[in-house]
Amino acid sequence: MPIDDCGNISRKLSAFMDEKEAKAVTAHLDSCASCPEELRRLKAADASLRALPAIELPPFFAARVAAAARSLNVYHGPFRRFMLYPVPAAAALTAFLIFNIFTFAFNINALENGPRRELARKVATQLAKPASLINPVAVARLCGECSEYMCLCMHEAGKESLCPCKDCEMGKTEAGNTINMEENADDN
Amino acid sequence: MQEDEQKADHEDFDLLADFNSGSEGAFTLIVEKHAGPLINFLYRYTRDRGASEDIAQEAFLRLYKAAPGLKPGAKLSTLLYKIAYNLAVDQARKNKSRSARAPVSSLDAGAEYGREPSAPGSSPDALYEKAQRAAELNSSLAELPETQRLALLLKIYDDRSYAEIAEIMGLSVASVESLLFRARQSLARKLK
Repeated sequence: MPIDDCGNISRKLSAFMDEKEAKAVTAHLDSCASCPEELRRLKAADASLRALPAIELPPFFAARVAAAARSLNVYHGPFRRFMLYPVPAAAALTAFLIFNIFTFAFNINALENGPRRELARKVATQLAKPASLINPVAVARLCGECSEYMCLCMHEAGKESLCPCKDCEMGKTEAGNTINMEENADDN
Repeated sequence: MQEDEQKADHEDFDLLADFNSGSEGAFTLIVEKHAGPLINFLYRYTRDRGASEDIAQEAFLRLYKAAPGLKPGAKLSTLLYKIAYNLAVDQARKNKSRSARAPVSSLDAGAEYGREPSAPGSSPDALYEKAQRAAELNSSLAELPETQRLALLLKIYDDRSYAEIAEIMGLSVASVESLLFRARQSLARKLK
């Protein structure tokens, strides 16, 4: 680095003070008369600025800002939390529905023609009454095993009126048993 | 030094994670941690204590709104300064267009520094000299072009790296280097 390269070096003095330019500047400073003086002036200006007193933080500033932030109520409300993830939630729901529709269609396709027509008729009947879809008794009618299980539960609980069967065999058996018990009692 | 910075960033990261998981206390801690340096930076730029507090509060509120969308590795203090920087520059532009800036704020600045607590036993002459010196420095600083002044404030008072200053001000690192060089040279010349 030539000694008379002060123009270029003085441009690098600021970066040198911030430890960005070291090697070339140090070498020049060792061999130059004017640049060390320029560096001293720059450092003195920095030091003067650093010596200016800092202002005190106003009392309760953090509490004031936190209160103002709370009053915005933009983030921590439950609705906002819900709205933060609408896309993944909608995607998961759609995937779940599509999976179920495919499984259902696959199962129906595996049935013989007769039962398939019967099931399709039942589904169409249920879909024609959307409110009944949320009625577990109505839904249980679509599924043979569910229907039997529910029938058993309802009869055990003594709520025959909620039995999903239209022509319940268990009801007839129970009625027959009751008549027999009454006849036995009369005989006695 | 670098370790301290990494530790501070890590703390910010934890605080941000706590805040995003619903802790309001974490936001108060973020404010307590950054409010002092931020208000001082803004005050040195605007030279108006009330305005700097208002801008700082607005910056924190914008951070509050933006927090849920921030990436976990986001550098909170740089982001906060970036928001505050933009708000301060907008405010300065508005003030300039209303011609409301100038001698009043300079007088305010001198008065503010004059009210700083002095060391016990300081003579009135020494206090006067100190206040004069502070006023002189402030007016020299105020005469610098806006971008130079902001870059210098971020470097000297907040000890930001060139890359951080560049990110805050939306400039390249080379531009920041050039701004700092010119700012220091002008200031040194004025303080001769």
